[in-house]
Amino acid sequence: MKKTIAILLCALLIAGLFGCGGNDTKEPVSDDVTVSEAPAAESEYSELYTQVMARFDGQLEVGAVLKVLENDTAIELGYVDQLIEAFNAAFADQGVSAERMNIDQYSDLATDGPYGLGPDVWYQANDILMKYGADNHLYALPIYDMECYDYIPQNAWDAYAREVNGETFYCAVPVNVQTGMLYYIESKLPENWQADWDINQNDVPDFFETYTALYAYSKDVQENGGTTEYGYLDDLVDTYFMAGYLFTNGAYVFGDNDTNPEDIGLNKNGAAVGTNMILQWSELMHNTETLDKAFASAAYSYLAQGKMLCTVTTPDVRAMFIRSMVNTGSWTEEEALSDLKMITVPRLPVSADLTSNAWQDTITDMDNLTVQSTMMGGINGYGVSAYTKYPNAALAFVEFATGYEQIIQRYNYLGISPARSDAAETIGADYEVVSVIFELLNDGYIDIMPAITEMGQVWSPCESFFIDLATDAFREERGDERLYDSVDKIQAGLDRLVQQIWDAIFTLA
Amino acid sequence: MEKGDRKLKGFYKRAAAKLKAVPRGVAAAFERLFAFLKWAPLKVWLSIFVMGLGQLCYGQIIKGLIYLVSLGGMLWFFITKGFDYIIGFFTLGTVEENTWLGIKGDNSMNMLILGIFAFFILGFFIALWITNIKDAAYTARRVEKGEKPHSFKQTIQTATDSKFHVTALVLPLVSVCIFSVIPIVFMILIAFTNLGGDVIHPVLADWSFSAWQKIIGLSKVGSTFVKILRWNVLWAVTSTLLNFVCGLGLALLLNKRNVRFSKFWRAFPILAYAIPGFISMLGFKFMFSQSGPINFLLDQAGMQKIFFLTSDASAKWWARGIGLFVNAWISTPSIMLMTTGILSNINTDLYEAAALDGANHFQQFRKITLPFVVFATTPVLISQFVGNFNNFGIFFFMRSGVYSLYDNYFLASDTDLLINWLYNLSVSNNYYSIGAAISLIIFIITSAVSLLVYVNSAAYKQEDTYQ
Repeated sequence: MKKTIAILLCALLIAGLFGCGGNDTKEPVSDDVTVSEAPAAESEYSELYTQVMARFDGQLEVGAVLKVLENDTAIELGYVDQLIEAFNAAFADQGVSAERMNIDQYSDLATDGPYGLGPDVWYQANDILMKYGADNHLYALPIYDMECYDYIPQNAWDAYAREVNGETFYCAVPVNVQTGMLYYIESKLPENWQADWDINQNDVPDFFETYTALYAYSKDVQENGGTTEYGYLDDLVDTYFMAGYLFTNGAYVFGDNDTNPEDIGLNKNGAAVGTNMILQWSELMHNTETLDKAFASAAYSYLAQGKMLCTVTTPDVRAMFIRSMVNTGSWTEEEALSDLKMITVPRLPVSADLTSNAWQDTITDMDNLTVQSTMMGGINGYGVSAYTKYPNAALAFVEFATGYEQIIQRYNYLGISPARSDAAETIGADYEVVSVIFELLNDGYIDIMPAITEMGQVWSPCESFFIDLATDAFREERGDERLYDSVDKIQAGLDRLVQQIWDAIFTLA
Repeated sequence: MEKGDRKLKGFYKRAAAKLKAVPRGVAAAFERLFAFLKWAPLKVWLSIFVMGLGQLCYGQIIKGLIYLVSLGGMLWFFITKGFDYIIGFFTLGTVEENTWLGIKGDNSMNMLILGIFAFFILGFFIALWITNIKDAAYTARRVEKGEKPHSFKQTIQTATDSKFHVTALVLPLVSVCIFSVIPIVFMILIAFTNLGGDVIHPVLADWSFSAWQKIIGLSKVGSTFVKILRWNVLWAVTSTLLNFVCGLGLALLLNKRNVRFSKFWRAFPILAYAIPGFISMLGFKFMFSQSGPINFLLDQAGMQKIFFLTSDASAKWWARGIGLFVNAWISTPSIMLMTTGILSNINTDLYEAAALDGANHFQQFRKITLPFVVFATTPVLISQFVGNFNNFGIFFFMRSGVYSLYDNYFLASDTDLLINWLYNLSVSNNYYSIGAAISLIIFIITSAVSLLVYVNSAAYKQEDTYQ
């Protein structure tokens, strides 16, 4: 029986290879990508594993029409239609097809799935997928036998890992890495940047290399004017992006590698000093729009209109910036694609104080005075609903969509940073930052969102705390008492935040 | 004070008398039942044991067959599914589902709702059985008097004539049971389970008082409940009053003879009424956001921007005030339309007589217009109060995702109503049983207040006067 399964899976692999087509530049995983030890032979599969994977026998369900739920940006920009058409063409002779499911057709896999109303295949962020994976609403997938397995680093797979009876199962296949990236428009750089803001002469503006330099540049622009109204402008209340200041200083979300909700680390180690930098930004920016997450949707047009030089957001919205630039009438699409740049976020000061060092010192003595920023990130991926009537067809779709060719297409349409090393290498040849993101992921500088359900209790309390913190920059001028004018008070605020998260998780559980 | 004391004493006396009458009533009912069973002839006993058999014996073939088929259907339902549903109602599942291993298990929520459905079918079945016995007894009495049993045609004629009210109300009653009563009962029973948190499908639930223990026992939850309840009552009263005053004011203004093009002016509030409420709410949310036009104008005027809707403590009364304003914006047109119609029904002779007696405009309003309008709109105002008490949308659309960090709110903000807090607990955080328990408390409060106000209102006490 096991041999039959292995032969069928091999056949599926071969079929997938034929379907994906060849790319001669594709190479197996490079030496420094860490992958887990897959069982060497089928005899190493445990009984539980075999039982769980029994449904994936390689027999495609003829007549299957898969419902695929994707994200809105991918739908809007045409990638999903391309994917569906390509899959349908590749599997036409096998009687399997897919169709797009609209987001308004779906509300909750746990309640909709048992009645056949949810998607068969679902593309989503890891924290959302694992909310369902943890309760068996998504199937564990036979990843060791999948073509993409060797190309994806272990810490990406870990975003979808689930322990059952001491064994690790994986509930989805990683597709792309999401993390905060810094966007800027090259033509908006100050004319004198090479003379005044590139003291290490590496043809990279210093204010993009360290946050201290960015802070100094932003201050200069706001006080003396420049090509834009602000240097760096962003909402300071989004947990996803602000958590980086805490993580870089030793904080974490949950202990034991983000699996233990009893150990909440948002107030641990240097969290308070890291948080103080957010307050410093708020005091500098002094713009109440930064207190509202709604800023994120206005950021595309603000950058295009020259309100700020740079902002931080995720790679998958690159196309939205392009669209906003084209809408101003000042760029064609080609010009916008060339002019918009996306780079990794600057390094944070070791002192956790944006004003303590001279910005020039942070450039000339970068290794000692600064540290690589650790950002919160996510791994978006494809999961298969545990209520699908077509598990083999759904698995075939996932394998197709996570194949090299489709990942390249997803990049072309959406500008993603792939989790596959081969795709990252190909794209990185033209667009270096993609390779850099992959390296950051591989080296642990992207802290993947915890996959446990308790993560759902973290967002609202954190956002409320960051709003309260950033608002503190405005309290004194309004005649109110400041609440966070010392690191001790920030620490006390973080302690209250952690208590609130603890209460949300455990009080009513 | 004395009058109040006398009223209270009278209430207690009446209540005690009614309670004393209960055992007497029960005893009397049993006496009547035994007397009936003693009298019942054989054919009625046949109907008692097998639905429709008595009717068949009396020669009412079609009716008897209908009852028999109904009995067969009910038995088939209970044998194939119904008993399992009833057992499932008590156990809430015995086998935990595991989709990975292909184990088809039980879903506690499904079992609960199917169990309730089975009980309703059982109740309907019992009601049908009783009508079958009553029908057989009626036929028996006719036969005793020497009259013939009703033919099927006569039965149909009765159903469409003297018993038409029963025929017409059966279907609506069944619909109300299915679409209103069952969901309400389901929600009430959820409050007595441990559903929520970690206990969601595929984990099986149990019957439990844990939700009530947590609400009563936990100081955090209790103190947040009291704070929110205080604001909720203030909100419900203020918003109802504000909507009524604005609506009545607009109606009076536009009703005045010297207002030109009143039909044209009436169209504007109707526009606000016609636009879906949540669009208005989102519009106002943007308007009062940090990057919205209000703050933009303030900034342009050299003034400080205001934290209207953020989670800052200074935003508390701004957000509450904006909520009242937006709610008035949405609700005033409907009150205006209603009161316009009521105002047109007031006898103008009353105003002439009052003017002759020397009453000024305010006195005429206070003594004639206001009592008349309040009398006519009391039931509507009560429903408005209940609606505003449970007005989920206003603060959900305008301020969702915001928790107040000051003042120890637990998973809530300072503008949350009980229904919003309920949503945070049950939908956002999956604490279903606690959410159901809180909604029961909301129901008790709103129904008690509504009944109290209605029973003490002029609309209830002095109905004859105005008629």
